[in-house]
Amino acid sequence: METLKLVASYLLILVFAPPVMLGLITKTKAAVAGRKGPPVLQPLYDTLKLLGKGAVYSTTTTWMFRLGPVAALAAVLAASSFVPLAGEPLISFNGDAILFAYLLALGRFVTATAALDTGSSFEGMGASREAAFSSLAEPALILAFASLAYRSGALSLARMFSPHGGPQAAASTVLALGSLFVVLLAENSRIPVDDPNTHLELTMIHEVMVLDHGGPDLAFILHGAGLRLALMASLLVRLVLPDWPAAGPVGSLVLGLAATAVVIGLVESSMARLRLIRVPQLLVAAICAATFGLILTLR
Amino acid sequence: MLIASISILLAGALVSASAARRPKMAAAISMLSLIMGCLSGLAAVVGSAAWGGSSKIAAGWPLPWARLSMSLDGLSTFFLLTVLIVSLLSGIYGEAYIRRSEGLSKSKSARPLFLTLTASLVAVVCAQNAILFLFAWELMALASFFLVIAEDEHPEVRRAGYLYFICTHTATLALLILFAILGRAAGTLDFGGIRSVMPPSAGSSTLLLLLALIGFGMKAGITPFHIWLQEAHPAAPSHVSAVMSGIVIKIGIYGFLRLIWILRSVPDIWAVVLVLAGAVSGVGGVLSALAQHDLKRLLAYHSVENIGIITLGLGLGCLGLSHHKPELALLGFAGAILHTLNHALFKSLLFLGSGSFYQALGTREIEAGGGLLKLMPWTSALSLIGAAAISGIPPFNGFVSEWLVYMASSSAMRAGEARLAAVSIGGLALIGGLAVACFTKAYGALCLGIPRTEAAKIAKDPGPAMTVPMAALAALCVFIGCWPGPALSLAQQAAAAVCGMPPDAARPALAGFLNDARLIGLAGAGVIVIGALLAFARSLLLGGRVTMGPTWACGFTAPTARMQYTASSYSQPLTRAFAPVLGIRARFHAPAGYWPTESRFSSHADDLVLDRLLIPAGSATAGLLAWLKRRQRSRLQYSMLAVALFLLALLAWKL
Repeated sequence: METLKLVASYLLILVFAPPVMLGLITKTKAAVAGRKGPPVLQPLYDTLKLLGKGAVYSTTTTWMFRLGPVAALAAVLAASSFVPLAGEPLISFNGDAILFAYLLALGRFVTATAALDTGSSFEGMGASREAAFSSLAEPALILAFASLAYRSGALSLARMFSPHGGPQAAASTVLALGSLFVVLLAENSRIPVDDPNTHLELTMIHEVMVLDHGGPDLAFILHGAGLRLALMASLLVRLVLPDWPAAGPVGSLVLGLAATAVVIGLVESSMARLRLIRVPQLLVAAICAATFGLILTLR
Repeated sequence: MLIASISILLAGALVSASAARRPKMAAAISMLSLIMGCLSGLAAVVGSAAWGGSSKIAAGWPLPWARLSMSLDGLSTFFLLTVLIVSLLSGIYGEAYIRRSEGLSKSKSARPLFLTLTASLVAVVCAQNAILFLFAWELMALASFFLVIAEDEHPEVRRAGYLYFICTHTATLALLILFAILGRAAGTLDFGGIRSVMPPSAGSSTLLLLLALIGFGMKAGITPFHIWLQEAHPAAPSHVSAVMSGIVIKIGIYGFLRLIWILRSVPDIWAVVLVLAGAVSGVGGVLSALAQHDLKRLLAYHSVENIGIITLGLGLGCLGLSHHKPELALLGFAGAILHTLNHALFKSLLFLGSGSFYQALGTREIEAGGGLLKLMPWTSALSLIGAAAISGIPPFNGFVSEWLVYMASSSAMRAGEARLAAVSIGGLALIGGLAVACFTKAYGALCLGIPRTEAAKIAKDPGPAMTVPMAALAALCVFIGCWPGPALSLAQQAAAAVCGMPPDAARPALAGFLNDARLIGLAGAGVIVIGALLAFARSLLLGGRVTMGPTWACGFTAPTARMQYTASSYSQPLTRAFAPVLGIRARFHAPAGYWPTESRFSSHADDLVLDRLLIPAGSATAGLLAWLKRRQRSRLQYSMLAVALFLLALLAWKL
């Protein structure tokens, strides 16, 4: 029965958390700008509509182009099983944090190769930027993981991301949190690294890599990207917010995710995106923050 | 079986060399003896791994201190397995490669030399006597040198061969001194003998470390001793590059492990030096690779990167040995050893693929390719597996061993060696991210998109003789990635041998990690299954409603192949960010005037150690000496003055 409940809440979060979070971000931005904005469930409607459509493939492409969306979503789904989404994760072992990070890298690898398969210079440009920025985001992510792992004694997401440590660990938690938040913004193409609403292909990063995808493929990609955001956000939530007994583990996670979405919306409404050549500096700053956090933990 | 294997290989080399007048017969004999030799070697491996039947061989040898002694412990078994798999598959590929190549098919020595190289590799990993080891080592160096210069009509091949020759003999010199020191201390040159009389803390071990770094590190390609790799790998025929990058450089790692076994314990400084050297090689290697657009040069730099990962594991293992933490020692060594096998598999796969691409395109320039996934479907698809595996992403084998090194770092952190662990974790993470960028670049430019040149438009897959060995290597990559159990238990036996434990002593210490590795394999297989289900769901949803059209070019209707993103532009954000450590020379002829006619851009990445340090230092020294020589010749008075100054200096020194 317990297992059934765990799996059921997992499935609900996997399906609904990504579109609702994206919808909340848009809603927050609209509210700040004094607009009404689309309904919160609009991303879900979009995904459903896309799933019902046919596909147009470029004559340049091969099976690589069709592998991309499928493998990227599969990698994120597999990565989700290590994240404690329903109080506890589906699978947990010492070292699963590394597997989590590298499964996200698998998603990037296939998305970038699928983009290059079209032979379009725009998509090549997007893939190039994504590869550059995420190869700098990776050390920040893993160094932040390392300091959390040292504190909890195991490299496993379920143990690392739970509130602990008390006031003397607060400084390192804040540093890890800061670098993980920057990684979250960078990996999920949010402002200030990338603007998901931009209309000019030349300035896009993630969006331009998937220009040629349509129909169910695009639905897979959008859901996978949203899921990646939800997974990283739920790690942050678990790090900061204790479980709220009245809501239970799932309820408190959902509330936390909603709060994170609002925060991201506020960040996006309050600043412009950085120039592309400034982005590596932001990521190196995140690496430095993670390193300082690690030093503080090891002290 | 071991003796049988070596003698079959050597006899095959002799017979096929003497039958060189009849190429068909020579080819048949060399193929037969390669297969027979490798199979009998594999029988020895199976015998040793399955029921511990260590085939010991000992015979006298009329050289001072020399004995023909060989045996198979866990470590030798593991490396022998790697040697045999890669040599056998590369040799089969090589036969077809030689036939298709104009220059090589005329060569009489390519086949016998390859057999000699294989025999020497078998001997070097089984040798239990320093003289025999050095003999086999030298045979390996010479055979690979002659194979590197097989196409010596090109000047760059001769240059690379010369550089390799210098480097490999510098290494041999360092090893001679190393074993002389050990032999003098122990009174014997048998490895087992030295080990049994070695005191727990060897006195001159900093000197030993330096000699090992030059000797074994030069062969392995640890920065800053990697200078020959990026020249020799591109110059050699591709099947030889596969063996050199897959195994010959790993013999340096084997040497390190054997030396640690002989010394029984090493001081802390080894761990510090090895971890730092590993991090520098790893990050430096992958950054230099990012800037390359010659496929084989790029792959050679990735060898430096992977040797860096292996060296990180080695260093962490040494840390465990010196701090008496068996779990850390076993994890570090097991990670290093398993990554040796994994790198041998995917790197030889990639080098074999590069050979097929080279023969199809006539150049190693990746920007001359494009769209090869359509035109050479097998070679490209198999190379994709190699590219993903070397990037260290699941569900392939590279991830499993990188994960072990991560776990070793995390174990070191708990053991109180936090700084080294942080260096290793940060280094590994940066290497991982950059490797993904580098291989999406190389693979995208070469195999995806539209053909950029006429040669690429008519490229075709080579026959099964060349794709089947690649497929076997790719299958092994996927197998170890999804079911790491067997490879891991071999690696842990080898690690136990390095630490001087009985083979099964490692199992309890590593049981938890072996179990976790199985879960990693399951997760990898899970990704494949989920992906297959999603693909099935997509085909149901689409129901055949697929239309084909041109690539969206943002409204532009006549895109051409030249408008594609190039490999250099793909890596430009990263190469610019890391420009201070890359040594890129760019030549840009900008369009000028109101009616610009011509503009060119080209870039070349120098090797920081070789091109920016050693060659300038060498030519500066030569210049100084030439200047002195001129001075000396010009006037008698100057010479007298020089003599007087020298005497004065001697006098001052004596005072």
